[in-house]
Amino acid sequence: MSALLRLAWASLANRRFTVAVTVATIALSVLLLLGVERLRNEARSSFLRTVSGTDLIVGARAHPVQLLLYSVFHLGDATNNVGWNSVQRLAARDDVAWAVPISLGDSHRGYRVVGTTSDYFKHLQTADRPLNFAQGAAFEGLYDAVLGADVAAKLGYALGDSLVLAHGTAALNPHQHDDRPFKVAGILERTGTPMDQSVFVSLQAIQAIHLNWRSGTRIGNAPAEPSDTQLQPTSVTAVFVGLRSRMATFTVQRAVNEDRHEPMTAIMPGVALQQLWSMLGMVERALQLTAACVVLAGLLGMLAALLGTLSERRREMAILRALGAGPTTVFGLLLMESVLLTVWGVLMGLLLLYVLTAALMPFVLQATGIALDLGWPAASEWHLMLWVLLAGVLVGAVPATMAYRRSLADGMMVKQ
Amino acid sequence: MSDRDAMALRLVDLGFAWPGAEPLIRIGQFALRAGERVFLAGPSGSGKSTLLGLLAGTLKPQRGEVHVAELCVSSLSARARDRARADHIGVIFQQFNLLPFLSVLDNVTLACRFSSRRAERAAARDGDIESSARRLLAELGLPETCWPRPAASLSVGQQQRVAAARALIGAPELILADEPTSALDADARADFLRLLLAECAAANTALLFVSHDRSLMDRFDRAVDLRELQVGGMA
Repeated sequence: MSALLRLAWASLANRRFTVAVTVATIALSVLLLLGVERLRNEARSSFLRTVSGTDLIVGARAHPVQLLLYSVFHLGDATNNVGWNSVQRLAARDDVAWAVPISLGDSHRGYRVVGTTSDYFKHLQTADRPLNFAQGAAFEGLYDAVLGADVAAKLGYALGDSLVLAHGTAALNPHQHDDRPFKVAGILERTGTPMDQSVFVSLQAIQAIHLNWRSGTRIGNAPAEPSDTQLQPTSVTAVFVGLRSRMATFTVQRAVNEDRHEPMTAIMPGVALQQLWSMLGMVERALQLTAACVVLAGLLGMLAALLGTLSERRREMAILRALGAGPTTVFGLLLMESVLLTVWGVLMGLLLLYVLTAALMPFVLQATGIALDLGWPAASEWHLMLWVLLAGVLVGAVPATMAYRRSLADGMMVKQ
Repeated sequence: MSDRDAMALRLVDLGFAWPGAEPLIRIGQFALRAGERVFLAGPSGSGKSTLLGLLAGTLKPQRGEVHVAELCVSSLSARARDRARADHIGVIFQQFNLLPFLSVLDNVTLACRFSSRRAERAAARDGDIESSARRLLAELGLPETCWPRPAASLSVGQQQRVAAARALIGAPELILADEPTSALDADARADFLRLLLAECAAANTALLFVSHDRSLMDRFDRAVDLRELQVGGMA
C-alpha cells in the first residue's frame, strides 16, 4: 500500500502543472460548495440569534412570516396595528412575564425608528445575551433616543448629539419631524442583528411627534408640553412577549389567536423562522445544486486530465506488470491518484474557505451583521467533503478501470 | 549447492494460440538449468513476445506446463502468476524499462517493493535493499553521481544497465531479456552484454536472452532458434 502511495505521489509530482490545475479546480469548487453551506448556516443561526429570549410575538392578524419579517427584521410594513387595550390585557395575564410593545413607521436617514418602552433593553436578548449599552443608558426624557451600533458608527453620532426623525420609512424623506429634535442618550453594543440598524425612542415620543400630524402632513408645531393623556399611545405595531414558563406558550398563543376583542396573531419566532426557511428552501437548494454541479465539473476536469495521460502511461503500466504488479495493482495506483488529487483539492478548498472567511469577516459583519465564525467545520460540511471524496473515488474508478483492462490485455508488452 | 541440478525454467508440451488464430507456440521440451545463459534467436513474428508472455505468466497456455524455479506457474491463478513473476523473474525490455519520474536508485529497488522474497534475498546478500542496489549499479558501471537523478535524464545505454540492475536485484532464478541491446551502439552493446553475463553468473541467475542479432550468440552457454523448438515447425 505504501509502495503504491509513493509511486502515485512520484507520478503526480512528475506532472505537477496538470496536477496543480486539477487541484485548483477542485479546490475552488469545494470552496463554493462549503461557502454556500456555511453562509446558509450562518444566516440561519444569525436569524435565530436575533429572536432568542422572546417566546411570542404578537401583532395584528397576519401571516406568521410577514409578522416576523416586519417586527423583527424591519422588512416591509405592518398592515394593521394592535390596540393598546389588547397590549394591556396581554401584559396582565398571569403566565406572561413581560410584554414589550414596539411601534414602527418612522425613520432616521434610512434607519428604522423603533418606539418602545425602556423594558425593551431589559428583556430582549440576542444570542441569549441581554442587550448592553456601549455608552449612556436607556431613554429617560421624552426626546431621548438610543442608537443601534451601526447607526452611531455610520452616522458618527456621540452621546448628546441631536437628530431629527422623518415621517415614514423612505430613505429620502421630505417629511421631517424637525420641530422636535431628539438627543442621543445611549448607544447599544453591536449585536449582529437588525437592532444595530435601529433608532430607539419611547412610545410617548412617537406619540408626541405625531400630535400635530393629520393624514400624513404636519400642521403647525407639536405642543411643547403635551399632557399625559395626549402621550398615551392608542395602538402599537407588535408586542414581544416573554412567558413565565415555556409550557404556557401554546395556551397564550391560542388565547391571542382566538381573542374576541381584536383579530391578532401570536407567533413563536423559531417556528415562524422555520416557515421562512421552508419558503426559501427552493433558493437554498438551487444554490446547493449549483455548487454541487461546479464540484462535478471540477471532478470531470480531473477525469479529463487523468484520461489524457492514460495512453502515454501505458508503458509505465507495462513496466509495473513486468515487475510483478497485477492488474489490480494498476487499478489501485490509478485510483490512488484520483483519491490523492481529490483529498488535496478538498483540503485546499477548506483552507481557502478559512482564509477567505478570515479576510472577509469584518466586511461581512459590517454589511450584514452576520458574525462569521472560524471554528471547526460543521457536521454538514464534513458530510459534504465526504461526498466530494466519494465522488472523486467514483470518477477515479473510470481511468482506473480502463488502465486495468488495458494492462490485462497488454501484459508486459505494449503493442504500439 | 544443489542448484546444479535445479531447473530455472522448464517447458513441457507447451501450446498457445491467440483466439481465432493458428497455434503460435508449440514447444515440446525446453529447459534452462540454474544459472544457464541461453541465447534464443527468432525473427519478428515468430512468437517471441507471446513466448515471453507465457514464461512471465501474463499469458496462460492452453496446453502444457511452464515451470519457473520448480514452480508450475501455468497451473496458478493470474494473481499467483503475478506473484511468481515478482519473486522469481527479472525482465529487461528492448527500451523504456524505467519509470522516468523515479530516481535511478528507486527504479532498481522498485523490484523489491513487489516481492518480499527478493527484498529479503537482497537484504541477506548486502545488508539492505539500498546497498544491494548500490552494489549492482556500481558493478554495472553506473557512476554514483547519477544514482539520485531521475531515470529519464540517463542515456539509453545507462538506462539499460539500470534495467539490468533491477532485474538482478534479489537474485531471481530467471532473467528474461527481450532484445535488450538492440537500442545500443556496438561498443555499448558489448559492454552491456559482458556485464550482464558476469552478473548473472555471479548471482547464479539463469538468463534467456532473446535477440535476432546472431553476432552475440557465441557469448552464451547455448544458442537456440525458436523455430527449431517449435514442434511441427522446422523440426
